[in-house]
Amino acid sequence: MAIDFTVNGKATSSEAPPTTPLLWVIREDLKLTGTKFGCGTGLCGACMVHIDGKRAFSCQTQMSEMVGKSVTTIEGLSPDSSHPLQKAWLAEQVPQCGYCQSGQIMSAADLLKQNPKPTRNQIVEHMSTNICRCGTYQRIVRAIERATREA
Amino acid sequence: MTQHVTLANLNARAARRSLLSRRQVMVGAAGLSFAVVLGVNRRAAGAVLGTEQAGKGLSPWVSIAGDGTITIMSPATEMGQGSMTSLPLIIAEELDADWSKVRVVPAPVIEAIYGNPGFGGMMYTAGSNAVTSYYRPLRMFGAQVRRVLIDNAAKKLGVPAEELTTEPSVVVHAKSGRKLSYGDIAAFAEVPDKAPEVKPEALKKPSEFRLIGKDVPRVDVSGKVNGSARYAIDVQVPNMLYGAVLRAPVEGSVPDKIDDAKAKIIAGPVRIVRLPYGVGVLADTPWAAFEARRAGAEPARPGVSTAKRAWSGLSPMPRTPPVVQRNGARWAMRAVRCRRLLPPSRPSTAATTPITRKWSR
Ligand code: FES
Ligand code: FES
Repeated sequence: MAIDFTVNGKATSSEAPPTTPLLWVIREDLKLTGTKFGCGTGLCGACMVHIDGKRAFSCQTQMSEMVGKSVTTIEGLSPDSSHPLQKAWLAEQVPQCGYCQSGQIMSAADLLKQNPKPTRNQIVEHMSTNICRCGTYQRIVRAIERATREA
Repeated sequence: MTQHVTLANLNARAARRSLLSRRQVMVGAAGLSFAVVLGVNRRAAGAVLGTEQAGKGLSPWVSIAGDGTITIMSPATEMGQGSMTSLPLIIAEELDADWSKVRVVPAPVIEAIYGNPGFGGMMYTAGSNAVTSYYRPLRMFGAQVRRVLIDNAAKKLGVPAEELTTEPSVVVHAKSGRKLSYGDIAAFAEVPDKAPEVKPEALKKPSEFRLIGKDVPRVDVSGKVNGSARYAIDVQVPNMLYGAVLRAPVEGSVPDKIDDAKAKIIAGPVRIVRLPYGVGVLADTPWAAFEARRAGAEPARPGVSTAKRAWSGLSPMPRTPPVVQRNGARWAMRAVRCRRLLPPSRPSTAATTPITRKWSR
């Protein structure tokens, strides 16, 4: 049975088995590979997307839960890398290997939507769902602070 | 497909050749290296540049399009350490390229051309070695391409090459005030079979560097803030299969019996591969592979442990080759972790996604 939902503003239909995690539909079927597979268990945040405007681990979200929902992936955050966070990420040259960064940015975007002027502690607390193996945490915090100033 | 075959053949030929002259290719006399490299290049460039639409191949490292875009090969793996910027930058420096017009592409796997001289010509990126090992040859390759451009410009303008100098991406004849951009020259340039000789003393002095030693943003970063950076896991080819491994829960054990019936019901067509340290599963999608692996490890009935079911009749003594024993501790741990990697099966609840449970707001 096809599951109808929206991805980055486009109506989409998936024939994947309903127990398939959203992550694999995004990556393999829709070829939006910016969303990454890290742990598959909701521990690392590499797979973070927005569902109906709130962040969610796509590896922990089954397709059966997606009927009528709207997903935003890193590719849909802005058409041209112009989201304040993406600009701040460039200005601070945040990524090292970059594997975690789609998830980091999606988490940070969720934070700024709820709280446009977070304190440093709020940033650290909110971002604790996302792991960076390269250890770019200092720059991530700096970039979020920059985005809150420059947005 | 054709392209892959071509590259594979090239690779084999290059490898044979490299037995004789790998070192010469990279760091030997300039003329020889260019000649050898060009010999291989004619087809390598066709294969690579054909897909990249990059203009005229002036060397295996550099091609220049009519609009002035300069494509430079990056021979090392970018892992966030910046090699994809620093190595092409070295070529660009001696080429006197306008860095804003440079596009960097990963080099194809042809060790005879792109191999790291610091690792005996292997294309291997490790040990903070890339810039140190590639520094000299890349400067020479950049300077040789610049010389090819100057020679072509000299012919076109009807002046001696010695009267020509370069500014970023432009050949200048100061006497007459005439200029030719690299893009213009590329359109009519003839590429010699043998590389022009450039004496080491003709290379730039460090005081003349415009790029090396300056603060240059990494070229890989922009793709890492919008999801477009391509990682190995992102490569998808038609009809590709995905593998997952169910590792032995006990060091040195092997499965007595493999029953794939359940895996096939859950995950569709899968292929099972017996491995010395566990069971491999091949499927059409990653998730099917993971599901099949999970099916293989699921208890048959409540109360029977996963390990017992999947590995019933295990011999207490290791039967597998010593490699397992050598890495015993690590492998055993991995087996445990592997199982934990699988998301728990749970009823799907449209109302409460795990995320809302985790982070209720
Ligand atoms: S892959 Fe989803 S949290 Fe790690
Ligand atoms: S940049 Fe490498 S994991 Fe975060």
